[in-house]
Amino acid sequence: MTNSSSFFRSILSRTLLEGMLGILIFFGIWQLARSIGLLVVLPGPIEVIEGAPAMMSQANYLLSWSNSAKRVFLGFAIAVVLAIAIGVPIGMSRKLKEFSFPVLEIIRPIPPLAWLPISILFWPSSELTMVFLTFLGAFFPILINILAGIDSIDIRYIQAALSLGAGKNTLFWKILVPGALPSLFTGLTIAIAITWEVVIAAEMASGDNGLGFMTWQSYMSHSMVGILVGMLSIGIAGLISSQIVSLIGRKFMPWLKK
Amino acid sequence: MIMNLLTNGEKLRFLKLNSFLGGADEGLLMAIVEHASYVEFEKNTFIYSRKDRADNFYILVEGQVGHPEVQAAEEQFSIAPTINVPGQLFGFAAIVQGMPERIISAHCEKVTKALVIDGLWFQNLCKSYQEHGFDLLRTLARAYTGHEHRIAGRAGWVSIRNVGKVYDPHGKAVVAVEDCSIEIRPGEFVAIVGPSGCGKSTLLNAIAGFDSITSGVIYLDGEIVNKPGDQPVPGPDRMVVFQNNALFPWATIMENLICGPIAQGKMNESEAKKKAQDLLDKVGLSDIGDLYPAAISGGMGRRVEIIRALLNDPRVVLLDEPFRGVDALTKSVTHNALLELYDLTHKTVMFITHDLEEAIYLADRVLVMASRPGHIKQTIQVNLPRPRNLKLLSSPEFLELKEEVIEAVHDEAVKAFISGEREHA
Repeated sequence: MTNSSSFFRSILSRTLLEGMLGILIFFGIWQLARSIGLLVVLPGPIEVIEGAPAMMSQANYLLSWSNSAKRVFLGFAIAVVLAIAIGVPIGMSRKLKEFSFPVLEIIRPIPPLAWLPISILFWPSSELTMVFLTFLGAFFPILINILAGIDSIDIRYIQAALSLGAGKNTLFWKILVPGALPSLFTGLTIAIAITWEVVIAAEMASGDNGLGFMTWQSYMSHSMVGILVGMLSIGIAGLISSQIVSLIGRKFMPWLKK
Repeated sequence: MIMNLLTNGEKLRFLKLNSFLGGADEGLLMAIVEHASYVEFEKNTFIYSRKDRADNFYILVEGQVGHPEVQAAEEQFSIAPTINVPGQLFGFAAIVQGMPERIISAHCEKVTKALVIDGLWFQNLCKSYQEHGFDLLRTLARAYTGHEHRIAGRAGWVSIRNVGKVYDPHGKAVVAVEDCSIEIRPGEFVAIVGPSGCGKSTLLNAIAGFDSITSGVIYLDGEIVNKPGDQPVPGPDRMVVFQNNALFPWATIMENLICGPIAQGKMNESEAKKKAQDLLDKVGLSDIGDLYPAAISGGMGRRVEIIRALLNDPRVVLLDEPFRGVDALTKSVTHNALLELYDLTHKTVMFITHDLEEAIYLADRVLVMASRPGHIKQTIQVNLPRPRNLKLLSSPEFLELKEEVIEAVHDEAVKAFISGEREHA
């Protein structure tokens, strides 16, 4: 047993080390580029690392995180609920699909940010505007993937279930839901990334707090380090969100091959 | 006592009295007349007993024969408890297959005189009369099969009568199957072979209840399970094992196996688990209960699917090319597993395959299906002893059968090949 646990530990650190090596090489190339004379506009990684603690210790840094995260979470959650509520009936009824699909297909290509002017006019507060845009960003990928997931269920599973004596309820909960779950989670993974993009852009355009706003502020106040710290924070936030979705996925779908 | 006191003319007269043979071809009847012997049986003797080998069938000339096991005559095609009308036929078992056991006995209640005809000889005679002969055999088989179901209480009598399926009848009108009739006896293992696209799967789907039919009727144990205009309903009495794993990927093997009986309320969870584990042990898969289907190999998956089907106590098990694409070694292991389970449970099995050797090795009867339109071209009886073992594969009987089947299939395969090419040209 001790052999295997130390083996695993060594594997873990190997993967970790390789990952860290990759990051270091990235920083190295960045620093090198600066030293040669390229990328003069940007600060080097050393400067960023030096300036970061100062930025992060400011009071509103953590607040920015929570404000952005709140919007992401809210918009995403509403998108999931609505996408399931709309997607499942459409996926199961051909008539409904024929009615609703054209409408959805016209709205879908409109990028969330194109909705900004209308949202500002429509929603009473800028907070609601941003949540609305976030919702729009997440909604369509999840919906499309739910529809694809329902479609992709092999008819033989349904036939087998019917032969085994499954009723309508069992068919839905025991066949349709697990069958569509992998596609749903693909949709969630895509959507969470889009959600962050939309939030940041919306904050830059019309927000007054949050990570995006913070980055924009740094630009306004000519703090290059601030911009980069802001960007890195956003990147890390996105990474953490995707990992959470991934972990939840693995919990819900234990049968997927590791 | 063999007596030669009937002229051919008189024999012919008695044959024609029979409701089945009365309308048959003169030539056929004359051949029977030539062949049949005329025998007198003493009162209170048994002409044949239950479990005897069924060699001959009989046409009553005079006297009375009783079937003690038969309760009451039912519909037109069933067997009466007493045979006392001249021309009546008894001893059906001999007509249906070369060597089944008698399921009822024939007891002479009076001095009885009858024409004795060898069953196997009669079958071959009918085959030489092509369509007409087949029709006759089929009608006789229906009487026997239904009777076997009612008397012996065996379930799983599948009766496919004049079934046809036309896809898109108002559009392209593709005739998948036309006028197909098959009688499958309870507990029989029937294999259907034929070229791709000849309608084998269509038939299977119709029996299973996944697809409708446009003409004819399908009965299971005398009840209609599919007829034109019906929206057929699948059910656990007709379980299907598919080509690629239809095991639910999101459930463990054990969950897959027990979901059927639990969903139908037939067993509780612990009972079902025990039964499932039992069967898993029998086919050498004791430890995989907690794995997901993605973690087991194709060959294992097939065995699991067969067990899943059997756990639902179906009346008939339908297998649609279940071992297609499985490598030869795994295939023979899986074959033996299937045969073990068959010997254990003796369910009626309908097995579709491309592999002719597989068909002969597993089945009691091989039906050769032709395409365009799909219909049964030929039936080949497999009289190899059970339990089957791999040594049989090189026995002369097996090779003879293989030749027979290959010959029957070859023409159809070429035809299908050519017409397939024409379609895409």
